[in-house]
Amino acid sequence: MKKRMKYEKDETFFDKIKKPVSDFFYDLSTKLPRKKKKNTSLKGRRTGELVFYYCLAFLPILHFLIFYVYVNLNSVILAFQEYKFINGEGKFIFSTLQIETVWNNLVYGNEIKELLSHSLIFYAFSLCVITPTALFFSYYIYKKYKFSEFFRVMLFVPTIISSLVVAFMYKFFIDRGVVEICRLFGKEIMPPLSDPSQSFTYILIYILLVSFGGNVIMYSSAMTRIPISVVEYAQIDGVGPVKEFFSMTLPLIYPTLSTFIIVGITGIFTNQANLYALYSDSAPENARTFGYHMFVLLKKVSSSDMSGYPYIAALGVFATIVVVPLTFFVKWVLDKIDPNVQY
Amino acid sequence: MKTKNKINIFAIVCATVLGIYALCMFVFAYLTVSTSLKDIFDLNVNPIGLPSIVCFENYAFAYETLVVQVGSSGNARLIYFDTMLLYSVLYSVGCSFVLAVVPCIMAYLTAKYNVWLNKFIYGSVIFAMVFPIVGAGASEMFLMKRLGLYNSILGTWVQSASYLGTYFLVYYGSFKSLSNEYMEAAIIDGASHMKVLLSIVIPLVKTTIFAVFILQFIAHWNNYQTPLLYLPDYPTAAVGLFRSAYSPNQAGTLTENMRMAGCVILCIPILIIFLLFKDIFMGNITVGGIKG
Repeated sequence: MKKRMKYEKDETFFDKIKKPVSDFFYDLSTKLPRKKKKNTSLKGRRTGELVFYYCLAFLPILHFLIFYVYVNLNSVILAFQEYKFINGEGKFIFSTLQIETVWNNLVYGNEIKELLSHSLIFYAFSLCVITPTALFFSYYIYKKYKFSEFFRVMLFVPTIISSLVVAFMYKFFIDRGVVEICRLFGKEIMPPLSDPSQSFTYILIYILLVSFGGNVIMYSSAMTRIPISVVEYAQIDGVGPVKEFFSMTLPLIYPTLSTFIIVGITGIFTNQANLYALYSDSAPENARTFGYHMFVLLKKVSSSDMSGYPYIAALGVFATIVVVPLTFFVKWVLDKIDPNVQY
Repeated sequence: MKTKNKINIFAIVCATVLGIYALCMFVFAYLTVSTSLKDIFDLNVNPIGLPSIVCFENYAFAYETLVVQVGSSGNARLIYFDTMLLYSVLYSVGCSFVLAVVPCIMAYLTAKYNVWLNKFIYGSVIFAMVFPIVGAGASEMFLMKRLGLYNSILGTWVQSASYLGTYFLVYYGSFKSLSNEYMEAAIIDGASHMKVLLSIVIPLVKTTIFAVFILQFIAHWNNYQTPLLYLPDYPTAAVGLFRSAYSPNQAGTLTENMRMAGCVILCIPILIIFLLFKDIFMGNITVGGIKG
């Protein structure tokens, strides 16, 4: 007789019914509907991917179609419309009046020509004075000369403070501070920003002060991407800082520089030269830019006045017609003189 | 790279000019703060010197007096500075959030999913950057009014929810350099695409998203022109300061010392953010990784 081990117990009543009960419930579970398995086939996964992609991309693409494509197309359409009251109801009807007005103003009038000339002066100042100056000082920051970190912070601070606050500070300094300093030296002067003969110069100085910092930060960031090994090879060969700047640094940051120049072309027509912060609607006539004029017109269009939109749209169409070929031309020129240096 | 640079003429000239620039900034800051601490009589007698009596109550007075009137003559109401600060926060936070998140999601979809629409999305970003279109402001305002988004903070959030711009390219570069192994491993383990996006991808680029959010927040906090155009009944703090200076019929026109106090109040949050996140502003935006 097989010896019973200590752990073997006598079968109880529950042990006897346990097997039939568990068999019964197992049979029942095989008859119940099963949870659907995830479709792990390639086609199923791809469908899931596409559903996810289109669900997330739908709204941003709709936004692009409405706020970019439709807005720009509508801008062209608005330029060829006029707001008229017909049977007591305001409607936009087809008309070339606004385009003709802009054209006549440009060809026979002086207003748009003056706006353009001021805009071009500000752009030329930015291109010929601010950009080269910023490049030199960016190089100084990049080479980590004395107090470069301190200057970097000082250059950065005006870019994060509101342009309105900087404008108020500058206006107070010029119109009160400079006047008071002149008075202490026995000379009475008119507040320069309010004096039409001097305001243009002081506006240029203001643009230099506020734009300079941002440009220096951008160019010095581009310079930091130059590999150290390239610079060290040059230094071993006895290249001085000036030669390094003109022969190495400038060619290596040329893509960044050319991008800023190209983007600046659009700025000819959009740059307000911070005039709105300095003067609100009342900037001196001899300093108004095209971008400032457009903004003032847009501000004046009230919630109930739709009649001003077509003229603003016509000005925008004219500006776009001029700036698009100009941008591509400048890009072509810059590509031609590109030293095409890679590292 | 810090090299032992010899003192040369170039460095001396640059240091001198940069020193003059820094001095100008200090002078502006000094004049602003000292003017904000003077009373009106002291300001007229002594515009550029130190205040003879320091008036800290100018700040409290500017805070209470900076009031903007909105609405038409029959429906006019006054907006006080604390409400303007609230509008500034709502406008800045909302617009910054959408401007940080929408380009991120679109860049992720474009970089990581092989769909024909990617070329269209990427091309549209490049086109918008390269092809200059000027003067669509009138059309945009017209559209905002037609859609009922004009004069609404929610409307400005919707207006801002565009994926166009350089930040799309920043995110795109980040996602392109991110290995697909992280996502593939999660999908093999049964995670859904949304789970992968929220639990794996977003944490990997959260530094970039946060940096973009901070930069956009500052830009929107300082922006007075867009709220001036699109939020006439919800003036932000910057708009309030602007209107107090240039609208003589405002309910609360500030004197120069009050205006300077208002400028200081407007700058304080930005300077705090700058001090807290200086590394983000002065450093580079990079991508993280998963440990182990």
